Amino acid sequence: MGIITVDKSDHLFWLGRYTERVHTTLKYYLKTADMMIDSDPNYYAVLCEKIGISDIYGSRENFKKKYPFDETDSNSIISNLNRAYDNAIVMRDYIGTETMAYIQLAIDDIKNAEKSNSPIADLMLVIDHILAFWGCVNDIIDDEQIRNIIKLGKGIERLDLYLSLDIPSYYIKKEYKRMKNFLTKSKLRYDESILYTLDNMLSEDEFNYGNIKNLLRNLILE
Amino acid sequence: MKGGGIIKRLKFNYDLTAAYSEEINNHSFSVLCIPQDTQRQKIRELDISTDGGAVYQITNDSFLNKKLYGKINAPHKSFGVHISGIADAGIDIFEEYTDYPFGAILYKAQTELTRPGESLTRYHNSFSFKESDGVYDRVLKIMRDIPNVFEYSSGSTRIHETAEGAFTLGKGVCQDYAHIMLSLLRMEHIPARYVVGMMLGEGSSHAWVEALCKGYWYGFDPTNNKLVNDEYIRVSCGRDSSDCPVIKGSFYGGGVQKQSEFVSVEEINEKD
Amino acid sequence: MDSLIKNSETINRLLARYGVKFGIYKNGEFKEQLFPFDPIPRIIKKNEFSYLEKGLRQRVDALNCFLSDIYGKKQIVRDGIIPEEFIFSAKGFLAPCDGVSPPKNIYSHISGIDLVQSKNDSWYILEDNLRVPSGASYPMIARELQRRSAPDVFTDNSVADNRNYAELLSEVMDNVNTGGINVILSPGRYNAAFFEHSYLAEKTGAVLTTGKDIVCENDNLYYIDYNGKKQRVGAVYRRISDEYLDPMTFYEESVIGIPHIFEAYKKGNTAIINAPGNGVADDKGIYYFVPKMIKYYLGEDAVLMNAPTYLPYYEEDMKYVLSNFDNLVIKDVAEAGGYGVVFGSSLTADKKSEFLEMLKQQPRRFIAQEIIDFYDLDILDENNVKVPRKADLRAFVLTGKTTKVWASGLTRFSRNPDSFIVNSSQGGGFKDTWVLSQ
Repeated sequence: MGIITVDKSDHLFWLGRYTERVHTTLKYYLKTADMMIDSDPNYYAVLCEKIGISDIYGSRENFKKKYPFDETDSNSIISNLNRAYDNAIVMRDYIGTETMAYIQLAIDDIKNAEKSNSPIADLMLVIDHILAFWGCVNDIIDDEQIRNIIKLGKGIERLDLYLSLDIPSYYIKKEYKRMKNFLTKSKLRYDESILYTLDNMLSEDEFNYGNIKNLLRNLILE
Repeated sequence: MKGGGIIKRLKFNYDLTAAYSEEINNHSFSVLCIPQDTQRQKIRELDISTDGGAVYQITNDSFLNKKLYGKINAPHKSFGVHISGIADAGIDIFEEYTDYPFGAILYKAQTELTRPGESLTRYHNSFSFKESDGVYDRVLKIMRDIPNVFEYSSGSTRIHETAEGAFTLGKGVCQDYAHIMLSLLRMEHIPARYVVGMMLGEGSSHAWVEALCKGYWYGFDPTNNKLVNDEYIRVSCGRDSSDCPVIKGSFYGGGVQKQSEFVSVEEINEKD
Repeated sequence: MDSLIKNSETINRLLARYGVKFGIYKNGEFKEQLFPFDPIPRIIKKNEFSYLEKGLRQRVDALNCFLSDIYGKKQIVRDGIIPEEFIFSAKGFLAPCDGVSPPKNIYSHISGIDLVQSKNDSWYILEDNLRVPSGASYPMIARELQRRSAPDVFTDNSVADNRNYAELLSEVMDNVNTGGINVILSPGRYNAAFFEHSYLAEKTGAVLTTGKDIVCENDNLYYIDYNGKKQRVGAVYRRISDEYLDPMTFYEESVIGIPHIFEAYKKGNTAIINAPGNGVADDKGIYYFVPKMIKYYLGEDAVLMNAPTYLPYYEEDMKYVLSNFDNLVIKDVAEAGGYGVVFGSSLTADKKSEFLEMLKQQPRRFIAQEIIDFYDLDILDENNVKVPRKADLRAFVLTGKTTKVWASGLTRFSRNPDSFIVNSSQGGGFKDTWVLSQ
């Protein structure tokens, strides 16, 4: 292939971000649903606040029904998955029909789970298919740069979510290292001074999550 | 009738500008406003300039008009093309028919803009030409009659008004006069083409008609009810006005767009 | 064959998995729909295909000669074979193309020729599509999936493999490529056939683009990467119509075209597939003249017949149409996609006299055809019961160094028992088309 235009690299990058957003928010949705059973019935409000979405749900039941499935809610998991699909469908010739199929299957999974008697258990299939999608990215896509742009998007999104969710610093450091690896290989343009600052901050044992999040959001140049 | 007419030496200026309320970029343009040599006119001291750092080329379009086209990538808020030169006009009163590019066949067919409806068909029937009437006479008769049924009025017709639409309205500008005349001529199976050009005086560009009579293209100006003579400089031609857009543009951004043209043609008395 | 039917749910599931969809606008909103697939294939025997192949190649070769003539010397008009009204007042005739020869003088590289089979087994040409015929990707992927869901069927029957379409298409692009990469120019993902554009790009290795990444400089086309590096484009397989191709030559308001691409094409610096201006040859009015073209340019009799057609433009034909109106189907030459088709017998007395008046006023606007008694194909209905339905066949004829007919095609059928209209935009479905190799 060899030629990646600005538009195309953008689609690949956001394909990585949205698939990761679906993956991690779904994992935390499952965790939240579990906590709401007996430990904290209103835990969903905490999740909303952490990942920075407005709590439009009003009740535990409503959150459980709407957050994964409601296509009219732009923050819902299905909305993010649809955005992943929108970025994938225009890149069929780069990522391949086989790879794309797993996004389609994940959408079908969510729609089936909504109608199912055990929606939460069935939502785990979505995670399976997102993992299969990433497997295909590794396995099927020959072009290293294409792979790395997708993985860079995925890495940056994961860091952003982990920082929001107050994940222990050990994991942040690990994900940061992975992301950096893809950053240079993706050949996308980035702000070197931001990277330098991030390197310094993350070499400490303690660091300010909010500051790092802001820096990360400005790392990649348009 | 044939042979040399009276020659006028005309100095012309054609300024075309487009202004945009907001910056535009990636601006592709194409412009048809360069007069060229014909049997009727000789162009000298042609000077072309553009603003906005435009890189341009010139090519012949399929009607053999000179088309200037190019691109400006950097953001800008206005664009202009300025053409000036001297034309010896009226060297001949006709232009000999050549088979290239289309032959005359194409100019016999009605177009979207000239296709007659009920009112133009009725008007055409009112002429009741005889078999023995010559082609030139028919054309002349048609031109002479149009002012009886159509009056000049700016601003009443749209940019791409059809001949039928303008005729039903009863008034319009030079473009509408030309389209109506083309429609009538083509109903008579006379090959006829739309011509854009400049006329002695100041103002905007003008449009008239050329009809093919016995192997020669003659110019007729239905707006002024005049035969095209040494006061006219021809710029481009086509089947109707849509083949001769003075300016076309494609770009990102822009907001409101305002186009203006200013044409001046004056007679000069310099000797060779 | 039974296993194909038994596995029809599997195959539909696979088609959904691979996103085999087409887009439609309903109430102004874009929706993607699965293209309904019927598992029972249309089967064309080897000798029958040889006959079709001969006729289709002949037809497409003559149509290419015609296009080259019309945008060149116009001899067929001068010789009085086709009246000039049918050419120069047709919407499809594009003046800017006059005098321009495309690379290797090929105008229609990919031709979609629609045929039907009558009850007495004869094939008739229904229409020619020489602009941007679509549909080849559907049987390609359906075959791929059917081979997975019912492999035994293909072991037991000798079916010509149709997955070589991408190779044929690449050959066609490479043949006219003027030096540089091949690109597929799509209007974008909200186009009805976007699945096909992206699938063909994947399978041929051509670059899929919406035109935003392509610029024309000094009459050359370049594809620009994210670093601003340019790569020359030698062939553009465009899936947008002529009007939108170049805002500087055609429709100025087009935002999906490439400004000045026409200048690059005119100077021979890029190929456009199919060439602009082909609409003049696949007009329903011109259809009538194709057998005459075959005789005129190739000196041969047409192998494949047109459906018996009348041109009300000719007085004699008008008389026939007026007195046999109830037995005919009348088509508006400007319409496509199954629109503008009227069956004489279906009109009320009032509507009929209204229509006849319009016909007399604008004879050039219509053609009339005898209604062909279609040979129906079986499809499976909702209850998995075989029912007969009207179907047509779009054959894909590709012109590269030589003209080849793809050993498959798109068989479209009407799901409504009373309808003759098979277009996907009107709810039709599709079948695989098998050409037997023995």
